[in-house]
Amino acid sequence: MNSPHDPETQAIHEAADWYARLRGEPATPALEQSWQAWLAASEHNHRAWQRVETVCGRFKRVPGQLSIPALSAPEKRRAVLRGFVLFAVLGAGGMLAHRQAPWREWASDYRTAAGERRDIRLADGSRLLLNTRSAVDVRFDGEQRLIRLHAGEILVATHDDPVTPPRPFRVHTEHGRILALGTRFAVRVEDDATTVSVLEKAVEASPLHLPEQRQRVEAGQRFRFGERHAAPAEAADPAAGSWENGRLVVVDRRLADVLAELSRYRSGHLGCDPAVADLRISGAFPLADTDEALAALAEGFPLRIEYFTRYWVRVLPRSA
Amino acid sequence: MRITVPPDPVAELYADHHGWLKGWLRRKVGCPEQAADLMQDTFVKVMLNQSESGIREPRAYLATVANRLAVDFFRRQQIERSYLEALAALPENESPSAEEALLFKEALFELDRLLDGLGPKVKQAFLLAQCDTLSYAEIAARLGISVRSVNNYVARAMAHCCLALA
Repeated sequence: MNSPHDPETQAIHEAADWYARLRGEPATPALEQSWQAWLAASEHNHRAWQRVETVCGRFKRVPGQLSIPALSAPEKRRAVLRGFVLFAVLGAGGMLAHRQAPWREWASDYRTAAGERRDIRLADGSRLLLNTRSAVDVRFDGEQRLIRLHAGEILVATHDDPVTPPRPFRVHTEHGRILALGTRFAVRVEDDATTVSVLEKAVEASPLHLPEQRQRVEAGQRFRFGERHAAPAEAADPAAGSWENGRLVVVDRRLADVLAELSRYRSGHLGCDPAVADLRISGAFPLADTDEALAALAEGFPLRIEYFTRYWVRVLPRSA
Repeated sequence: MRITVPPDPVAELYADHHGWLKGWLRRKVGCPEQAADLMQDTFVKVMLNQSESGIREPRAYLATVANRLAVDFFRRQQIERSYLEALAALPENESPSAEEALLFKEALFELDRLLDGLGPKVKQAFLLAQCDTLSYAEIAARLGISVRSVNNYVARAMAHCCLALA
């Protein structure tokens, strides 16, 4: 048989190391390139990689829900089987979701630019939607599923944890901590406070330095808190999560507030004449193109838009 | 491959020892039919592996070959049992057809052969990694080992399986 030092065996060990790296590390062009270089370096490497693919192919013949319990070591099989059966049942819906959703995203940082939105499927099957100008770190480990929201706004739809026992799902901001209770909710960070709006089920939230002021927030409620203060939970804006669908939905809000909201989705200055600041606005405005949203405002209300440059825009009374 | 089957030595071996071997296997596996099958397999193996020098300790030799086959047999039984349990645990709409179930079982025996010789943690890390749904961090958490170990185990198991490919 092959001795450990013949080139064939050597190449197989290298191929196996590459497989382990490619499976475990985030895909980057640099990693891909150096792997390709290794692959092209010799015929032995090429053949060795074919073996890796053959092995993967053999394992793909049997679904993991069956192969893992059936092939796990005998002495532990029983104990392990329980865990996996549970996993298989809980994970049944999640498995498919995972297929498009790379396992690589277990520890990553995401950012969005003005006007950008990102939809991310996390390693446990949960969904994380980043709104405009947002920044998060995702850290999943054996203890917890943690999202740190540094700026902007996210919408989270949690999924049952495929890991047994399930790990808590938390969102931390500079102002405090939120624990999800199997739920869908939006979290928004501003300078002095964090607001969590619950769309389904419930969360628990507490100010960073007042953990005893923990508040359970139910569906339809929102809770606003700073590091050292918290207002009582109140009725959430029913349209709090409307950005999820790319629209800003407002009902009877001041123009100045609507513009402040729209300006989150674009670069530059967006202001208005004090004469129209208190005009009450209702409507749905597209977020993908805020110029279009402004045009819609000018059409539906007695307003006109003045562009000095693309980055300096003012809203004025139409007659002025 | 060169197969030379001079019938005489094996015939002699069979004539002298098959009764003993059958009894020995029956005590080992319990079931007389399985014992008979395993005995047949043992002699087939002996025929295929015959060396020129002949067999000096026929019973010891037969017992070694038969023992290996019996271990395989138990192993397969065990896999089959765990496999059936896992099948039973699947939600009804995800159950494979009878035909698929048989194919899976045969594939599992083959996979088990590839994995044979690996330690339990290495094996588990590799099996979990093959499923594509868990990150190394999650595998590490589940097995109580470091992420680095997961990477090393996956590499080791992959090399092992590649070398075990027929």
